[in-house]
Amino acid sequence: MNPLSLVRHLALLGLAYAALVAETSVVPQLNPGGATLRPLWIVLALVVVGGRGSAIVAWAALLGFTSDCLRGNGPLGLDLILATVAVCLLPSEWTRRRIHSITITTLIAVLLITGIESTSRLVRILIVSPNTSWLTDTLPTTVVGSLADALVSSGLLLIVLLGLRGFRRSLGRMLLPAPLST
Amino acid sequence: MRAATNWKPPAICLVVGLTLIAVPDPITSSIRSHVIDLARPGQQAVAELVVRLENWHPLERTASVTHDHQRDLEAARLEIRRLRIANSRLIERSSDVRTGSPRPPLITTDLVPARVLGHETIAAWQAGRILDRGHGLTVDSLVVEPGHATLDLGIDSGLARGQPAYAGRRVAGRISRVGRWTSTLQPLTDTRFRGLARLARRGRDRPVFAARGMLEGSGDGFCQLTLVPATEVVARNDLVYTDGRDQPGGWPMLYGTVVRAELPEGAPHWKIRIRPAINLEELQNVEVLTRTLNPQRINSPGVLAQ
Repeated sequence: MNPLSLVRHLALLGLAYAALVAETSVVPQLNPGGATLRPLWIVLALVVVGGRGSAIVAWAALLGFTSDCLRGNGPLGLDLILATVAVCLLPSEWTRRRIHSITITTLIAVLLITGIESTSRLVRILIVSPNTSWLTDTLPTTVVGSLADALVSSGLLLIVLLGLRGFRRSLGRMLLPAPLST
Repeated sequence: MRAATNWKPPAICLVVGLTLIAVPDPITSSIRSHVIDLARPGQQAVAELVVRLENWHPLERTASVTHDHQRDLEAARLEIRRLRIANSRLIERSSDVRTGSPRPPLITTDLVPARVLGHETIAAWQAGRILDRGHGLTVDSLVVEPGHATLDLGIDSGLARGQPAYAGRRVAGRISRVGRWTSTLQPLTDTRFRGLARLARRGRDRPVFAARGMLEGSGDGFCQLTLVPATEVVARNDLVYTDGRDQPGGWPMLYGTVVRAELPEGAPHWKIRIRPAINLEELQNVEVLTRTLNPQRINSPGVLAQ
């Protein structure tokens, strides 16, 4: 592992801890449009675009496990499995090398959050009330709710990434020497 | 895809996930609590940051010198008021010491009333059929446990794991898991329930207390009282009350009644079967015992020394 990679993993660890703190302190008080922000899955999207290969799977498992611990019901380990499967199902072009496109990053966040959240909620509902019509009863509301969460979380990620890009460009303009005028 | 060629990391993660799913409930609760506790330093930092942001007034830095003087004058006035209040408290305290009146207790208890959520409400919540007007009533915020009743109070009402719950003067159980708005009640008949208990016979106007023991849930709608020495007298229809110093109001609560008491040959302890005083199936309201630091003790005299 080269030093740059180590720094990157430490930064991701810091982000994951910040997401854990946000999920337990700030996020419960924020409900934009009735949706719930999921900072842990935002970090997972950043892991996918910033990491490569097996490291992505390990981070997905860690973040999934953290999400499991934050949920009030259901089995421990469900989100871990779902997050691992979700990152394995992503197209190989997204996991093989680092992605610099903000659009693809946002798209990855939408796909991951919708997939993991809706499946996790459906399974947890099935475990608590195992009746025959659980899928037809709960699928529409669960998917719509998960999609709303995904859009809100991805929207926040998009705003932050655009802000960072703008800041980096303005910083670059400030640091570069001004062209000589005639 | 690289993950397709290197299948070991996903396989290991899946095995870990499946192992965690198979872990029994008490261990998962402990793991969840430890992970949430990890976030506590960060939560404290966020709380301090919020307080600092609330108290931050950048425009005051550009105010005129006159405004600063007025502020100093106001601060001095407040200081004088504070000292006067502290002085009066010291006088009060010295008179208390002279008259011998005791100080207020450090911890105060409060009984918080809670309702038991019905199966239909829980099902509607899980199916997302409750109108929440944008308050984020997600499925995750509902806490449920098999065989445990769900109460409509959670962390927002000061509930915490382990707090006892009563129905009138009868013990219903204790809080086992707490969410943001809801919590679950571990009934006293649950096999993991333990509590200090004391036997009592019916007296003329009050129960006559006798041997002490440990009440444990049997898991079949009854409880058993253990660790009662064979030398004690135990009879059918004896009452079983809570024991210990931390009783609400200083009076014990009723667990139930002895329905069977056997003393096997040569055994050091009685085998006692208890019928709970409460009908858990028809339980609709409970009162949860919460403990908080007494504000009178926080504002105790001694501010002059600060």
